[in-house]
Amino acid sequence: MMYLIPAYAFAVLVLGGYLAWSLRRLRELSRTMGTAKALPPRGGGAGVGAAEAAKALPPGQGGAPGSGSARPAP
Amino acid sequence: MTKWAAAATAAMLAAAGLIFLYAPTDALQGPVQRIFYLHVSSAIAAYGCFAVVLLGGVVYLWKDSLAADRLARAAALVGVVFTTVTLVMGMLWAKPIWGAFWTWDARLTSTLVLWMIYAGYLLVRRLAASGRQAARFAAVVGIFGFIDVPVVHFSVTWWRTQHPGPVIVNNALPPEMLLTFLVTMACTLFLAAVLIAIRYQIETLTDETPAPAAVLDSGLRPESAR
Repeated sequence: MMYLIPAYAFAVLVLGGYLAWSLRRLRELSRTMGTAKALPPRGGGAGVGAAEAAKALPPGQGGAPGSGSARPAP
Repeated sequence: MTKWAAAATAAMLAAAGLIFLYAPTDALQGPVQRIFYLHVSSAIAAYGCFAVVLLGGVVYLWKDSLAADRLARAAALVGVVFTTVTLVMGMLWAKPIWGAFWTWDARLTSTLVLWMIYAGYLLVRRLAASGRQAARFAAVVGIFGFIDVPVVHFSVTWWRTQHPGPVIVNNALPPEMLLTFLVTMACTLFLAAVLIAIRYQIETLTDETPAPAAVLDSGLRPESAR
């Protein structure tokens, strides 16, 4: 018993710990990838937030007609 | 994947039930003989993992497949984990039976060499710059490293060793012990497969994760900056 218990305790710790750590790491990476995919690429071109970015700009600068501030063109 | 992990955990708990409640106590060695079930199963799981590394390496070199390289990486890490369990459990069995944790006999030494080969494989992957060159080099290490697997397995028959010889093929186990061993082996192989699958997904996501500069460009803070 003196060696049996430490042997199985070690196995549970290593295998169980590795399984738990792997699952946690997988969840973290999945979350990071999900966030990265949801963000628009540099410049606000295509992507999920592109429509919102275009709406925020005044007309004539990529903004949708009738949206943003009505600043006159020079 | 969480469901598969839960299934593997349940399978290992069932195996533990058989090991501690169903299998009879060995008349000569006493309770410490129960180490055998997971010790041998872990060794077989490690052989399986290293066979996957071999296969992944061959397919990578042949077809230049990144998926095969990821599979090899995943299996190597899981194989090293199982080899560690095998070595430590074996040492804890050896102390009360042989009177020493370690002897430099052929089975123990070749298993330690196996652990070192694949730990080296992982080190190569970590230290070398990521790219095709590192993957190619690691594939070669993984293929040649597998030569040690048959050496470990047949060491007890090729050389005179202190380590016990094969018990399954020699019908040396009573039916209850044999059933416990076979169930434990099946559950351990299932756990190894689940671990490789999880690790494969981690490797895939890591490869697809944008580089730190790209992360900063997109407005995300990298983990190190938190």
